[in-house]
Amino acid sequence: MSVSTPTTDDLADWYTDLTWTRAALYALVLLGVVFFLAPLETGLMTAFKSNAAVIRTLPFLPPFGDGFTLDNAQFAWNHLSGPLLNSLVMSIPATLFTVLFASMAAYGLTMVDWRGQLAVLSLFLVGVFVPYQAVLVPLARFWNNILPLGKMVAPYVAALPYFTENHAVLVPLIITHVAYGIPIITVLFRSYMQTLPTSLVESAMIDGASVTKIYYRIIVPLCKPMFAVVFIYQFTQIYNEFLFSLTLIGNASSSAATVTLVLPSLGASVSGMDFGVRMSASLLAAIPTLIIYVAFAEQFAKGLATEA
Amino acid sequence: MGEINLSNLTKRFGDVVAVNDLDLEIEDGEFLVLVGPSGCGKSTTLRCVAGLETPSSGQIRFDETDVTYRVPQNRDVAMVFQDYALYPHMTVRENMKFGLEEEPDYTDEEREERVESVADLLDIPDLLDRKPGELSGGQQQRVALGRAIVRDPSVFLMDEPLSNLDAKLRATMRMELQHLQEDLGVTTVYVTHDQTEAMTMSDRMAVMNDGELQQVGEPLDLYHAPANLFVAEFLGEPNMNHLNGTVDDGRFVADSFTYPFDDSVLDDVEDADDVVLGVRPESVEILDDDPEAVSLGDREFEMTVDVVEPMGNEHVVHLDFAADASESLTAIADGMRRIEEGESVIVHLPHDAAHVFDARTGVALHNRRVSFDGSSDQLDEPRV
Amino acid sequence: MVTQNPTDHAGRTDERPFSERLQHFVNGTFVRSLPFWGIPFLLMGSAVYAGIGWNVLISLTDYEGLASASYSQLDFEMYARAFGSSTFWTAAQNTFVLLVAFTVICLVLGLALAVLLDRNIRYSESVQTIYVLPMALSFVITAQLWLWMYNPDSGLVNLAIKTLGLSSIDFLGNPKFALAAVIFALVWQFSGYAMVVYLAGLRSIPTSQFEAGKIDGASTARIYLRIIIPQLRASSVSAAVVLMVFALKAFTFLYSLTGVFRPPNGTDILATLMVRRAFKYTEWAYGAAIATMLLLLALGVIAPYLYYQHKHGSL
Repeated sequence: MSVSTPTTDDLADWYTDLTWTRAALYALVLLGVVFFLAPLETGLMTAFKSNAAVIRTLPFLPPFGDGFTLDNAQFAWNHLSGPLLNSLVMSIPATLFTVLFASMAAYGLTMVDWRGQLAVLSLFLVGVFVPYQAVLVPLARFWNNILPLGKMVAPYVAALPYFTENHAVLVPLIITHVAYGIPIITVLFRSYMQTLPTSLVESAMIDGASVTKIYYRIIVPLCKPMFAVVFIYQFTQIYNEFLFSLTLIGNASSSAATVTLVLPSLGASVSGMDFGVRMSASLLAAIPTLIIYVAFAEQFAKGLATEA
Repeated sequence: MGEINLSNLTKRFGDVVAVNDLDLEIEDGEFLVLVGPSGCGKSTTLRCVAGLETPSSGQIRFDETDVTYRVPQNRDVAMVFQDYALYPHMTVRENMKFGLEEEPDYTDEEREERVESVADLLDIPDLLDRKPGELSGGQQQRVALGRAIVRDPSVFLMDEPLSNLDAKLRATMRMELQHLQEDLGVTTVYVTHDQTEAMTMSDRMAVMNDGELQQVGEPLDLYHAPANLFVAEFLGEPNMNHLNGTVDDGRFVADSFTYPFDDSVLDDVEDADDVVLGVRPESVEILDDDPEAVSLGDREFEMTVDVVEPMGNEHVVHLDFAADASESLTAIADGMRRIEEGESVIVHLPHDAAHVFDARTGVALHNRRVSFDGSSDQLDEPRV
Repeated sequence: MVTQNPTDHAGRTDERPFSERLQHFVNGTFVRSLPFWGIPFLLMGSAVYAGIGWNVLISLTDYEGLASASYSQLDFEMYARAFGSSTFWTAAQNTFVLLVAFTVICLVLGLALAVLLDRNIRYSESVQTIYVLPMALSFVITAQLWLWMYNPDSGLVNLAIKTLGLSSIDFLGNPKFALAAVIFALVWQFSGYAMVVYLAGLRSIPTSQFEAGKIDGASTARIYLRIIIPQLRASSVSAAVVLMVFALKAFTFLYSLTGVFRPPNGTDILATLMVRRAFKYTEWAYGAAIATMLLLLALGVIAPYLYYQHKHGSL
């Protein structure tokens, strides 16, 4: 039948199109996967190679035979376990406070019906983009000379188990991270809160709820998805941050040094090209954020998308 | 407990005047519907009463107490929103209890009892432990209603509460809401753009347009004795026939026809020149006579049937004076009658069916006389 | 009762008595929301804006070394010094090149990847996760990974070059290549970000537009070029701004490559120069002056963006 012929042709065309362009697409996707994973893959392989194997073998091949060693990993662990803990001690409370303050700020700025609102919001927004260098000199002077909070709390910190007086420097560091983390998280929260129907807040107002009650009974529960996003985002940011640690802790050999502070100097201190150690240490330092990232990949991607 | 008095209420958003100098008195226990096209200021008025907007000027009084600048929580009002505004993370029970939590007079058991009894009243006790997301639109609507009722406020405010329901459910809820309001006897201000809702539900309705109050009164008064052209055309489906013309020698003169006014109309029209003749479609009579066979009487015209829209119980018939005439009429004819498109018919416009409006100001000069005793609450000076 | 008649912005008189207006003000959302945004605002404001102000002030002094700053004599000497220094101009130039090249390449690559993943690829979620994976890492860590990648003897990059029959290049050691090598590494880390933003943009475009194009007989490539991509302008703008902010933070990457204040030759940018002058040579005032200029550069980047956002009412 003549009617059925064109249908078959169309289907055949569609089928060839599918095979060829699709194959090319998947090849490109695969190329991308290789590109993005290669540095991590060679890093991982090298992390478990002996010095001899690092030089002798191809960087992307897994270690084998006597080329395999856990010495580097052991070395990295010995040098980084303390800093890892310091990083967590700094990042977790800093993240919690940032998120708390920022969610409050965003709530306040979303529900106010006031002409100055845009001006205040703009100040938060500009704060997102200020390079830390622009406040670094005053920041160092402030915590060293004007308000030596580290020295002030040192005795109390030293009284805690595990911690030493040196760790007191983490207190001003946490406050610094909170202060500079507020703008971006506020902006993230606000963009989310704006998508909530205003009638919910209005209804609660008419129901007689106070501003505070509306915050913790209505807004916080409704923003749960955003809380997940910003916790992950901000923890990663603070854990990965280097410049504040460098200026406020300063010395990589301090017992309060964070992972990011120790890692570059660890690389530099190891003479020659002991990449086995460097890679072990790098991947060890990357573990907390990688775990969070892989476990919460969806929220992470969402956070990135809303940031824009 | 629940008398509302709005005087000179004005709300501006920047340079836009949303509500202009509105005076309105709502009696205790009354069901008042604020109706008008979108953007007419009806929702803004409601939000001012709720305390969600602050008036630019004017006063809002509840039982003679000035509440103009009170926050919503101190006004003892409950509101049903168009999107219901149910808290999605709480169960129906928690939603309904939320407002009660702020009222100190209740013990926790009493709150629970109150929620249950209102749930019974609305026939939703089996929904109490579900989340709003699991409910149908109609069920959500009931919950929203329940959340308002449970607080036992002195005023209910409703912002297009039925507009998200399908037509059938809307008709059911219309009746149910009316019964509920009658039983509870709580003053209710209800905003809608739907004139059917306004006509069927209200004790009195207030028609607004462009931020201005057009007319307040009982639905049938407004329907039969509109204060101006806007009210006349806003109410009624299909719309009132609108014919432009002049008054000349005691007759209404349009391009295609002339229509003699009787004395009572002429008394009202006085010396106006340009007028609009308004005739409700149900007043337009299509006679059975064959136009070839009989001669036309007074106020009778030969017209051609353009389109017939069968509704079942009735036909909506669109009639033309002549093929190229600027005027046409819409009539309602009995559903059992056979009317063919293209057919010539004789149309009668009864002498007492005429509404006459000033063409320039839109003010009603004369309204049709209705047989029952309806006194109109017409404004002294209808506004345009 | 005190009665004032202030006029509002439209020139109308507010005839409410003062007590009433006060009551309204106190009940108003401004006062009641103040505690919520006020505290964070104070903390953030003093850290960011007081910090910036103080920094500008320091940049006008001669403050250096361990002595304390003297604010008695303020001048633009430090700025003059910067403008007269070839190191400063090289760093400024490098900053500019890094900013532009990094952002443009990331956008192009990100768009290509987004379009790729938008073509109904299987496992696109997992692939997306892999493409964005480097973003989860600190600059400190990626710097180590790329040191190894660029290693002249055994690094993967040089291995590939040698396979092509060329001789290996010490990318980070050679000032001619160092900046390009750094940009390439940063593109690796952040093009996934551009992809996520573009992908969100692509997915917000209704498929019916694509189908309408198909029915009109347009090819897939043509539909993307003529219909889809032109609608991604907002995505491009916001992705570009965030990428530039990342680029301005490249300090950490450069520092970590060497582990000292001086980055590889040919990659000195304003951020590294500023930290080095201030924290290595304790030339606080000079460092502050460079920081101020870096800030102006950053504001120059985002001001048009904020204006654009404001104009489109999305602020």
